[in-house]
Amino acid sequence: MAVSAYTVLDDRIAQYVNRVKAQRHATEAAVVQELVEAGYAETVRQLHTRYQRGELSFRAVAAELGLSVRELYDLFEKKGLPT
Amino acid sequence: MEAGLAGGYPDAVTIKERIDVGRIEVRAVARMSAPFEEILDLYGLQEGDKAVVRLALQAADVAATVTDDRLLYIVLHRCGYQALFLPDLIEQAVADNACDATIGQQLLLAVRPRLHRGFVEHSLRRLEGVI
Repeated sequence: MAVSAYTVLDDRIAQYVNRVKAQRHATEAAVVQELVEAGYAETVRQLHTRYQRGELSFRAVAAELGLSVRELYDLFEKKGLPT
Repeated sequence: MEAGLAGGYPDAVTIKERIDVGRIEVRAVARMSAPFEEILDLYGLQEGDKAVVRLALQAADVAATVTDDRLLYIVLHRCGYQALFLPDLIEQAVADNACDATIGQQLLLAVRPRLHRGFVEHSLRRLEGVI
């Protein structure tokens, strides 16, 4: 389920969004979405690392991401991350 | 299992079939003492994780717990109970003649894509007799 969100960007992030927008002739929303997705991917990567180190259980990672255990298995598999 | 059935996962269907015919037993486990439960919380374990630990500690007929979860493995080990990673279980099955080494290797190769490479290769090398 997709959600729309309104947010105010930090000046530096706004400058980056404007530069990329002009460079790629992309919409502001597309650039911000790309940034959010990159942030999410990094969050998943960091949680996966903590899981692999034995700092967090698999279920704790799923809870942290708001996913069910099965959804997390699917996500890790899609990203090629071992469980 | 219910979530898996709702999502149409074939393993959930198989689990349900086995529960229905009594090949898999579903057990209820009681909470442990308050100080022990506090420790489980301090580890950051979730309710499902805690249920696994409680079952291992309370059921006299649990020989070992199989998990790929490092934290759960460590907690069980620290509680003095045997935990096995899935590749260890496959090696054990070969050692117990439940299947031969070739089947064991095939099983390891089947799970290799989703497990940490070192875990699988370690067991494969042992089954090959290289180490």
